[in-house]
Amino acid sequence: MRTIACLAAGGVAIALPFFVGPYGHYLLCMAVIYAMVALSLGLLLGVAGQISIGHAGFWAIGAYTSAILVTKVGVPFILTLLVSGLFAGVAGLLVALPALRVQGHYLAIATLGFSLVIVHVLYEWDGLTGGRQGMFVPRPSIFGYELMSDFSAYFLLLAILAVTLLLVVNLRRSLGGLSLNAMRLSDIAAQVCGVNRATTTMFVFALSAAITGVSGAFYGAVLGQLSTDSFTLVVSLGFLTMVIVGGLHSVVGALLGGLFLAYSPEFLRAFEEWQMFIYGALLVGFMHLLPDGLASLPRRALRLVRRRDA
Amino acid sequence: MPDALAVQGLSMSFSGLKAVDDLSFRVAQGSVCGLIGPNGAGKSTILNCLTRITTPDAGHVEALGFDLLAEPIHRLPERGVMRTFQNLELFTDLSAVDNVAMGCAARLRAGWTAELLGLPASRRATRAAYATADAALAELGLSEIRDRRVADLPFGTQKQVELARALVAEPRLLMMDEPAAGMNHTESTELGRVIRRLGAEHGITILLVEHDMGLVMSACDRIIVVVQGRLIAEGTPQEIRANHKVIEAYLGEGEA
Repeated sequence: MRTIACLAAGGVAIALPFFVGPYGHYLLCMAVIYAMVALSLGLLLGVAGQISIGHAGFWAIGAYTSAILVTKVGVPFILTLLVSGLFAGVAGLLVALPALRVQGHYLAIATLGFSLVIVHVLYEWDGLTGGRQGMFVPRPSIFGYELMSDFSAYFLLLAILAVTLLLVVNLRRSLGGLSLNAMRLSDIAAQVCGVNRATTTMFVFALSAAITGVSGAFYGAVLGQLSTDSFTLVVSLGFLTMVIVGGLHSVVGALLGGLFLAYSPEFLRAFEEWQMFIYGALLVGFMHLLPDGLASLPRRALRLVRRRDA
Repeated sequence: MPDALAVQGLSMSFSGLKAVDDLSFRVAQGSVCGLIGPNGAGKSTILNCLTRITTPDAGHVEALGFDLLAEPIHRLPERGVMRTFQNLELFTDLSAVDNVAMGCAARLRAGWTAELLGLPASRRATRAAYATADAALAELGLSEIRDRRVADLPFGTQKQVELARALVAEPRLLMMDEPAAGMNHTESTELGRVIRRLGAEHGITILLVEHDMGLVMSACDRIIVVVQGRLIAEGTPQEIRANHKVIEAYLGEGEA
C-alpha cells in the first residue's frame, strides 16, 4: 500500500511538468527547492525538537558557496552541491553550540542572530558576493551540459530530492531517529537511556543545515541571480510556516510544505505588504487548529467518516 | 561479596538547606537494598546524585568498580547503571514498544552513517532492539499494550513500561524511585516478585526507594533509613522493624 502510494507520488512528480508551461516549471523547481528545506527543518524541529529561525542563513551559505565556486573558480555545479552542503553543515555545527546551552526562545534568538550575521557578512563582502548589486549565477549544469530550461533543471532537482528523501526516511526509521524523537520528548530520559545530548544535537543541526545548503545552491542557480534580499527574516519565517502548514511530523508534510511555499506568492501577490502578517496568522492558526498540518487531513477525514458510520 | 555501590560522604545542599548530609553506605553485589525515609528525607536527591542528574557538593561514589561521579549521565547505561523515575520520564508521545526499545537503542545502534544510508547494519540493529523490547514487554505481561501511546496508559502501567525500558539496557545496578506508586496491592505484590527475581536470577543489584512498606520489607535484603539527609539506621528488614530511631522517625506516618 505504502509502496504503491510512493510510486504514484513519484509518477505524478515526473508527469507534472508535461502539463504546465515554463512558468509552471519554475514554480515546480521552487517547490522542490523548498521541499528540501522543509525536510531538513522537519528533521530538526519535528523530530529532534530544536527550533531554528536561522535557516535562511544556511540557505545563503549554500547559495553563495555554489555561485562563487562556479563563477570565480570554475568548479562544476554538481561538485559545488557537495561543498555547499559541507560549508552549511559546518555552520550548522557552530550554531549547535548555543543549542547545547539554551533551548526554546533563547535558541530561536540565537539562530536568528546567526542568520542576520551571515547575511550581513555576505552583504559587506562585495568583492566576492557583489554586495548590494548582488551577483549573476549560471544555470545548473551536469557533466558539462547546462540545464538551460527549468524543465530540465526540475528533473535534476527531483533526483537530488529523491536522494535526500531516502536519507531522511532511513534516518527517521532507524534507532538514531528514535533517539532524536526521544530527545525531543524527554531530554533527561533520553540521556538516561544513553543518548549523548551534545553530539546528537550537533549532528542533527549539521545535517539539517547541510540539506538546506544544497537546496540553497539550487536556489541561486535556478533564479539566475543572488542578492542578500533573498535571505531575510521573512524567508526564515516562511520556512517555519511551510513546515507547520505542511505538517511537522512527516516527510509528506515537508513535501506539501514545499508546494505551499512555492505557490503561496501566487496567491499572496496582491497582499505584498501583508506577507509577514499572513505567514504569522497561518502559523498560529495551524498550530491551534491543525497541529499536524495538511499531511494530517486524510487521517482526520477518515476518522470523521468512521465516526459518522459508527 | 564485593560492593556494587559504595557511597562515601555524599552531601548536597539547595540554597543552604542540606538535602543530603555526609551520607555513606554500601550495597552488596546482587542484593536488593531499600532506601526509606519520611517525605522530604532527601531520597530522590540521593538517587539523582547517584545517577548524575544532579552533581553533589561533596562525596565519592564507586559503582561497579568505576568512579561514578566522573562519568557523564549518558555513559551510565553502558557502564551498567540504569534508573527509573518517581514521576515517570517516558517519551509520552511514543508507543510502549518504542519507549522500551529506547532502553537498548544506544547499545545496539549502528551509527549515524549506517542509519542515513539505511545499511543492513542499521536495519538489523532496529530489529534487534524491537525484538529485545518485545521480549521485555512479554516478561512483564505487557504485550497487549505494545502499540499503545504511553501517555494513554494508566500510571501503574506506565511505571511498568519504564521498568521494562530500564531492564533492556541490561543493567547490573538498577535504581528505582518509588516503582510501586500508583499501583494497587496485587500489582505491587507482583512487582515485589519481579524485583526479587531480578536480584536472584539476573544478579542485578537493586537500590529501591519506596514508600510501600509491605513491598520494602518483603523484597529487600537490607534497608537503609534516611531522615533529613542523614543515615539513621541500617540493617535487615527485621532489624529495621525493631529499631527505635526508625519507629520514632515514622511516628504519625502509620507504618513500621
